Amino acid sequence: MMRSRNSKGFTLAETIVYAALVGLLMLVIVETTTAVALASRRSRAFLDINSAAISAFSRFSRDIRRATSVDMVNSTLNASSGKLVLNMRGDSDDMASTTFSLSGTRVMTNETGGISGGITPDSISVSNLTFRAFTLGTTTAVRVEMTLAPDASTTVPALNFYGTYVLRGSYTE
Amino acid sequence: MSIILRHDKRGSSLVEVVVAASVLAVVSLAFLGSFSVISRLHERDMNLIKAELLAEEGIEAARLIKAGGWTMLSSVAGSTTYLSLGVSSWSFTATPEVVDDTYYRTISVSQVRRDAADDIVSVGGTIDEGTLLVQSSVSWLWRGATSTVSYQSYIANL
Repeated sequence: MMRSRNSKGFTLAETIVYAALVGLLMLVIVETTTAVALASRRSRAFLDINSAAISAFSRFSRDIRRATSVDMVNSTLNASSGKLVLNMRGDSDDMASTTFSLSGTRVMTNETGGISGGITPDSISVSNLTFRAFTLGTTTAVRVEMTLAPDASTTVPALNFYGTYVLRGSYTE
Repeated sequence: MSIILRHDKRGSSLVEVVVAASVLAVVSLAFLGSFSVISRLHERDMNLIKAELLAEEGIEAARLIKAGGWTMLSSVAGSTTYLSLGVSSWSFTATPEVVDDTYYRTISVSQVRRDAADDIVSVGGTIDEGTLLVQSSVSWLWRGATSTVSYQSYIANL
């Protein structure tokens, strides 16, 4: 008697409960997928900012410390779309220069001898690149202020990075 | 035997569906949790990179201030001081510095002691008037926890 009732099919109540369960399951899946996508986008944005900050400031610190002086004529100092021209001593004691500038939303570098390129990735927008030069006696230091923001539409806000480096070559100038 | 077989072919019971759904929910929540943890770790790294650059800047600023005269550095020895960015240079100030309302930067300059062999010692020896130890510390509060990055460097009166 029991068995024959059970093999008859589903009652309306059972169907409604099952449909509700499936709906709830779908909702959980959709919500989770959306949240995972959002978290991974944020993650990506932080990673991009981190790698851009490290690569840019590694170059800034290395080249500014190696420089002998700042080319005050060709540099654009104290402006948010700045340009820094550093005088360096070349391999065979000849004078060379290294330029850092903002091209669109990327930081570019250019060395005499022809090597040039971007030092921040395309996925990051540099909205501010300010250079300041300080001179005390014969010693010169350069301060770099850089604002990085991810291009993708994330909730990650822009972040400022700062660095000051003394031109080691300026001691002997 | 035939009864058991027919019983198994009936499909899943409500309890089974609920159990399966909760297992799926737990797994997907764990999945989501790992993603948000990774995202938070990258955010923490970002703050750390900024703080490390600021701490390094503190040492370099002290190096620049020294160029304005050794006494600029030796006069603040034994105390904690702060940096102030002027139009044309860095200088020491008594006002605490907070960068972007988040990062507290302090500079401590301390005297250096050397023994008879001219090696730096923490206790004993005599004070070396031509060398100072500069420590640059950056602290910031993030998600209820305070982190600190400190760099140290000896600066000599050359």
